[in-house]
Amino acid sequence: MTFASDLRDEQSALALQRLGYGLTVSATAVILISLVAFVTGAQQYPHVGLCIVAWVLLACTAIFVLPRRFAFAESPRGFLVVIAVSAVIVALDIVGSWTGTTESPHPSAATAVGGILLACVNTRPVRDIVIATAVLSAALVLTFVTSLHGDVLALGPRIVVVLLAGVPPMIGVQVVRSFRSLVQIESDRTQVQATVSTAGITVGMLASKELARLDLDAERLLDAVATGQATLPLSPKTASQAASIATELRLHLIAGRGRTWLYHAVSESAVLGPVVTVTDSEGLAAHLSTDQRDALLSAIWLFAADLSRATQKLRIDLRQPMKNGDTDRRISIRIEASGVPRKQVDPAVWQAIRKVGVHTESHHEDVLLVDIDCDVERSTGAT
Amino acid sequence: MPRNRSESSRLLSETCSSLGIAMSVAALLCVSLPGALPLPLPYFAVLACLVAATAGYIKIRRVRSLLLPAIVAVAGLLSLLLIGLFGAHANLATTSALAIIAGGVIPSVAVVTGISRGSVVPLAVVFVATFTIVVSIVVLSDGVRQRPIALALIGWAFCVTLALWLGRMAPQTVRRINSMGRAYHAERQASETEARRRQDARLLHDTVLATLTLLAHSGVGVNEQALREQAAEDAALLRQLRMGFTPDPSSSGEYNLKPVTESTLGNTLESVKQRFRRMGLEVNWHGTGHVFLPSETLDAFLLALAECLENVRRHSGVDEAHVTITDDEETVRAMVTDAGVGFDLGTIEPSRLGFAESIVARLRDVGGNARLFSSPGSGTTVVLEVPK
Repeated sequence: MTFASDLRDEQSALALQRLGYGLTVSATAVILISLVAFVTGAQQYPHVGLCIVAWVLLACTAIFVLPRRFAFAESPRGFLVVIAVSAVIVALDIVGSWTGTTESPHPSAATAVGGILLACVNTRPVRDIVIATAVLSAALVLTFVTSLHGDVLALGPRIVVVLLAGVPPMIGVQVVRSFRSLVQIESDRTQVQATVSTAGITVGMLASKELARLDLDAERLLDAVATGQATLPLSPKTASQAASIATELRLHLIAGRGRTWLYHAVSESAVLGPVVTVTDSEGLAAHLSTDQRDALLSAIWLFAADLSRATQKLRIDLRQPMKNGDTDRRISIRIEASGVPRKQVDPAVWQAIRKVGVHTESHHEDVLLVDIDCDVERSTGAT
Repeated sequence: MPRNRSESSRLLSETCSSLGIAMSVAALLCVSLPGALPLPLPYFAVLACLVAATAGYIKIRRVRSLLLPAIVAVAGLLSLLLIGLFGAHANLATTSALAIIAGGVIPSVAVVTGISRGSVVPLAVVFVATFTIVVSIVVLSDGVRQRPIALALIGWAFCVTLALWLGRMAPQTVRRINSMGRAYHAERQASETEARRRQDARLLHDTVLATLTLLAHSGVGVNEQALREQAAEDAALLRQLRMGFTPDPSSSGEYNLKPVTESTLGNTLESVKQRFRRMGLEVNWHGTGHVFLPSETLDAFLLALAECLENVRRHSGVDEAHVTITDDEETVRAMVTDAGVGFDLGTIEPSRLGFAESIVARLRDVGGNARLFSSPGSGTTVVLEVPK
């Protein structure tokens, strides 16, 4: 039944996979650049043997992590192994390049560990990567600060080294996070958009899920009674369970028929749901044409999703206008947005609202009021 | 749906902002190391440029404008120039600052553009300007090693690749997701059909609800074995519904829920009879059993009938009821009679018996009606009518 949700999951998995390829390439580049730096300056290292051991370990880790073929590398335990080996690499490399003076060459395998972390960004929780990167940077900073001997200016090149090690994984984290929210918001928007072309009044996506759940609960309870699992007379707990299933089932069998597309669009959306309240007791939204619906939803989306502030609330009120005349063919919509400074309203909002109908706007403190007066075709609009 | 600031440009600007802030702050640290730049003018001039760049990168995260990238790039170039002019006695800190600005602060701005067509020329100009300044500094001053040039090249390569990659991949992903609108539409319709199918299985839910109501009272007052049988039957019906079938238990004389246009009354009456027998009420049928009714009318008729019998079971004080079914050209009539305690129509509100809502309302939905006759001590009669 929910093949579209499967498709969505598959799409976001595919998208993350494509993102993963890019991360692998950048991680490889970071490691190669560090390797070139090491090879070109190899004669400067005081204990070059230790550094070579560090690089061999790093190569093994890279072979383990980069190809994205080993499921173990993506498991929490695999990541722990990667982290442990990385710690050894960093330690060996720091000791191998340590002269105790400002003339020390830069620990190159340690910066390459940043590349390893970058490759893990899309398979591990953000926190893991951030902590690991912070520890890596702190270790480097500590090493550099303790070998200064008063030559503060020598910190300059060391800052570059810390950047080389720390920035790639942090940017990777940023990209993956932004990308996940992109996938989520776009999926939500597409899903909400689908309500525009449905019938004006429908039962919505959640109705069938809820009803299916209640039917299943009832089935299980009846089965338990039938098979004797639940002894008769029933325990008060099971009896009250039966009562609540019956009540909910009654409500669901009569309710849900009279909800408009707008109600469903808002209630089914993870983005709009928490900030938008729709008041439309007469189901007037159903009379809007497809174009008007599309534009109204755009305006709501732009208000609610684009700014996405904690303080923001959006109230949508639909009612029959009080004026005389052909009230049958008019609907007045009031959008009340709190926490939106007038200046920061996206120009596209007004563009969208103009497509819904004629509007007037007013501003009281931080509450923006938009009144839209729109023409509707009652006879055909409700289809 | 039209959008001004798309999610893909948000991805680019957030990445650009993070990268730019990290680089600007690092550059600020480098030039602020004691002794890096002569005080006060050279240091504060460079500081002002780098603070401007940092502020610009913070702003880029939220505000989309062409001016911000330009300001940031100019601030970066200016700081390079100032370091070149004032840092005559080049040191490790200023050299590193050069590398960070030329390979980090300035190229980070490329990320926000996503290397769109319109941004290629301005970016090329910035690139050329950056390298002109860095190379001249390296060539003109003795102390500077060539390291900044290599680092700046690496930084530019990294930023441009990142911008190209994100700038192509993000809109592509958005397009893919948006192309699923049709699938969502199909899912929505399937989901609604499914909800309707379940809601329309009204007779099934009616018997399930009746059983659940009995169970809600712990099943007290009903024969235990009968209740178990009823529960098993209802569970079986729900299972069928779950499997996607519309339960069609006509073979066992149960409800006929098939969405046919017409069905007979007779085979469904038997099931009502069985159900009430389990609950301790004997129902006697009289009259015709072969009446054809549209399925909606049949549903309403049976529900009203079951509701009447439930009232008899609960309130009449007798364990027997008679149902007489008659029909003529236009209507089907059922008379439900019991010889129980009866009641005074004037003293008991009909609504207390659920008469108005559950019986009258259901029948009126299909164009029928119900009438109630009773007096204390002489039983109760309900007449139900539905059109054919």
